Amino acid sequence: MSTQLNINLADFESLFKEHYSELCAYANKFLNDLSAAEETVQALFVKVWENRESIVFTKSQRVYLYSATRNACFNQLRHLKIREAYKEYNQEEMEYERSTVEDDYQAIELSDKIRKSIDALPEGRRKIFILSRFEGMKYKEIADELKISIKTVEHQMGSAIKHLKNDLAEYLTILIILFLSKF
Amino acid sequence: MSNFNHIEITDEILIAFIANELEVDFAAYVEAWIKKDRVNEDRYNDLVKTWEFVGTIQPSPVVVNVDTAWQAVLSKISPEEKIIPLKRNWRKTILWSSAASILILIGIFSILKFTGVENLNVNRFAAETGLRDELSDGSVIQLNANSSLAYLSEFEEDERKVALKGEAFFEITKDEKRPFIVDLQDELYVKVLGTSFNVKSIDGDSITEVYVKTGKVEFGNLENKLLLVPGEKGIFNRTTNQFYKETKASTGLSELYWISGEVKFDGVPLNEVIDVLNTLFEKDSKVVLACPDRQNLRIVSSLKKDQSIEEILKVIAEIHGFIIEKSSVGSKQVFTLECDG
Repeated sequence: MSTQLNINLADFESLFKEHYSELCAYANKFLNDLSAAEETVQALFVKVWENRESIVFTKSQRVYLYSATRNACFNQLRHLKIREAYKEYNQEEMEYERSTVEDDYQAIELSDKIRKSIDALPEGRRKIFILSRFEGMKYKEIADELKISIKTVEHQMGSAIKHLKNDLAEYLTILIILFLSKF
Repeated sequence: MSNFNHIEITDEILIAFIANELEVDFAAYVEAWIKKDRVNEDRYNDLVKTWEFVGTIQPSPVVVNVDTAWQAVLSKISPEEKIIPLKRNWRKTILWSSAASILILIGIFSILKFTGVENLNVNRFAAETGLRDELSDGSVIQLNANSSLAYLSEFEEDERKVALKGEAFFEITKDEKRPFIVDLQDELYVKVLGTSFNVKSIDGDSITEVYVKTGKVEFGNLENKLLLVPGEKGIFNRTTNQFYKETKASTGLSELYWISGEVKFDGVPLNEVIDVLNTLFEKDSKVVLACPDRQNLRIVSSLKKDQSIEEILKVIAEIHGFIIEKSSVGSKQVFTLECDG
């Protein structure tokens, strides 16, 4: 089944806002540079808008966006190839190019529950949690960056983990069973 | 170690322990606390499992500002396309064009201290209605009586932030790259990307209100947020710590009175008209409807500049066949609308 992207600006805005942060995360995995990742995803959406009459989805919109993001990143990396900087990407890119977006997408779908749980956190709390858990920033650094007190960071981290623990409870149980079944 | 004994070990402390954020001796105390009891250990293990499981997410989440990014994308889309969607949809088109002018109302009670308000170097206070102030970005703010506003003489590059106590009307110069943020008490905030809105505050009130006339507005704190569209009023109740929305036919009427001096009732149910009048003339008057079966009567009428409550009631009574009984309770005049016959 294929569908046309017959979209108006309001729907386009929703599409953008729904997927922007996950696509940036995906692009960042290839580019290892968040601002380059953001630019790539933004440019991609501008293109999607310009070609909205001719774009045909053969799969879901989301798979399309992931696949387009991946291609855009590889194009960027090929540009980098000319430069010295590319060397360090080379190995990684070879691996990625051998894999397909389907491989990636499977892992991404498996993580959807976690992503939704994190996304359900209020904006400020989510920011604090991501900076601590995924960017390895210390509470003090987060407090300085966001101009808030360390106490607030501590409190928000406590609230975040409480939410995640409850929200992911059923998965955590499955996780234990998986661990146990290994023995 | 015993000096930590009075501290209750919370999830907050445990997660700080897991994230390696505790001072050495306190960490040692927490570690001993975990080993002391099976229940403690289970609680700790649950959090570790959550922390680890969340860490398996692919790809790792990143912190991005979706609103700023959207504005960047929007600025790269040609203007004709913004106005004429592929499939012409006038309702959406009108909604979009109105996003350029935003009018909201907020009730707050004191300047908040969330993000470095103490650094704001301009403080304006209005003892009487009508102090107008122009900000560095060309925005104009009109302060109502007993209101004050704090802001930076030059805004930051990525946002325009002000803190307000009292009531003010904002006409904000559009700047897609810098959202305009009004900081409120208790880490409440209002964020807009568009251009004009109104902020209202009542001292000692437990309610904070944001009324959106046109455009889209975000109203929230660290915990929650509401996305408000035209005609909606977002309310934060400090007592219950809850956000909720109100959308009545009369929503926004009394809120906008202080700027325009007029209220237009355009098919608003009578009971809501009475609520609005009771809010506006709270100090000296009260309206009571003696025949409740007519509370849903639709009223089309206006309260014009300098018109008294009695004048508008007379008009309504004449059209809809009510009799007005005047009495007084304390210093208040009471108008009772009675059904004719």
